[in-house]
Amino acid sequence: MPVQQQIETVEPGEIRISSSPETIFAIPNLGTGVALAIYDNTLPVGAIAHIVLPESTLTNTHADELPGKYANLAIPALLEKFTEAGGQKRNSVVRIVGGAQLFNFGGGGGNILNIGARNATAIRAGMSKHGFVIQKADTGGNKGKSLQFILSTGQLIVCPIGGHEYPL
Amino acid sequence: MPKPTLEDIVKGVQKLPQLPAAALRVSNIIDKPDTSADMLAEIIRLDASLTGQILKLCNSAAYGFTRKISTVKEAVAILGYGTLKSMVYTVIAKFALDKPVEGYGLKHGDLWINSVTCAVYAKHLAKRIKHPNPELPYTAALLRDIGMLVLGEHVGPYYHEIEKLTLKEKIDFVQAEGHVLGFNHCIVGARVAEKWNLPLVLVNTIKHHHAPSRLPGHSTPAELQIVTLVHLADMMTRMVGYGSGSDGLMYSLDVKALQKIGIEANHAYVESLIAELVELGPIIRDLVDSMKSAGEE
Repeated sequence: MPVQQQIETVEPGEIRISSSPETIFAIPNLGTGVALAIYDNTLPVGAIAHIVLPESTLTNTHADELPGKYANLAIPALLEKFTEAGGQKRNSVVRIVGGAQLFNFGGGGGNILNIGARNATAIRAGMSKHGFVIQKADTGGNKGKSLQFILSTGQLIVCPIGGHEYPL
Repeated sequence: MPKPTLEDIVKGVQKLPQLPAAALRVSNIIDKPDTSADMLAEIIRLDASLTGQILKLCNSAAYGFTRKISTVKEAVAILGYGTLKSMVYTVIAKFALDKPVEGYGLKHGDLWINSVTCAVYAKHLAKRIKHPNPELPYTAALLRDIGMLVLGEHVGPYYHEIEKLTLKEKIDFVQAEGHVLGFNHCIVGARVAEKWNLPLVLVNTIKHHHAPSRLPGHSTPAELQIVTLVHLADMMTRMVGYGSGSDGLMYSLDVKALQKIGIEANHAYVESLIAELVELGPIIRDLVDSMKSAGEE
């Protein structure tokens, strides 16, 4: 009998986790934000964070803010949920998607708009600190991307907006 | 087949989007100088569907009232004309924009969500700088990309050429549209807005929201402020990622225009802004959900 699928949208700044094979986490449009997805295929359990900023130290953070907004706070929170659900480092696959960037042809903005690349860098560094390697990455460019994280198979299906989808 | 001309495209646009009769009557009088809140309220009140839409909006998280508003009369008394007007524009925008736009890779709902997100962001930015009428940047942002709706029906065969040109010549997407087609979605949108008798401030915002520095020299500081706020809201919407099309982030920030209205778009400013705007997500979703018709729920 085919699995009844349950699509859950992961909004900017959110962290989601599931051990249910019916779950599909979906992000309809990643801009400069980066989706960090971790999957343990032995259970299965999958967790995803829709991260929009590299670190929290530049802004005033509040306790009731979205937990997945900043890479430096999202990573420990995501890994805690993953571990609590039984996910193990040795069985896990880690992938990141997104981190697009505005143009800077006229010199308008400069590095202040390099947030996409900085998100990806911060996530790599943050995961490395916890002993995780990013196995696959699809970041950069100037287009948004959508993604679906299918827990029954662990597949990540990526689609550039207006383009064709492919597995990562 | 020859490329379509701007005149052909604009001629093909109906006088107004296909709106329900009451919304059409309201849109005809909404910006006339002698229209009062009571006149507007009377037209709304006579149409159950429009009344329902306005009341749902009133009671959504976007407006944050502590008690439920049950009648249009109450809504008028509490909200005032400016807010009632922007709500009517929101209803009109939903009818006009909640469609797929294949030419720009926008699926059903994308352009509507993108527009309403940008509108909410623009209002937030306006309040941040203590603008006297935050509903105006809201409405301008809501309608800024009506040109995509229209040009989207024609751009398909030329889209890849436009995209290739952005990278080859290192220019913004809207400039590349201009090179390939002879005009861009902003110019189309401005012409459509004129056809719909929208106020000049909305026409100018639609035309110049990707490059406010290019506003005509005779524009007032107030006009520059509105267009630049919408520009910044547009860029933030693309970065956070709500409903952007295949043109995505192929645009630059007009730093000069921002400086002219007193905004120094540095590292700390942009990141703190994104941090604030992301928290508006639940309000935007509530607004979008409140506007869903029975068949969409």
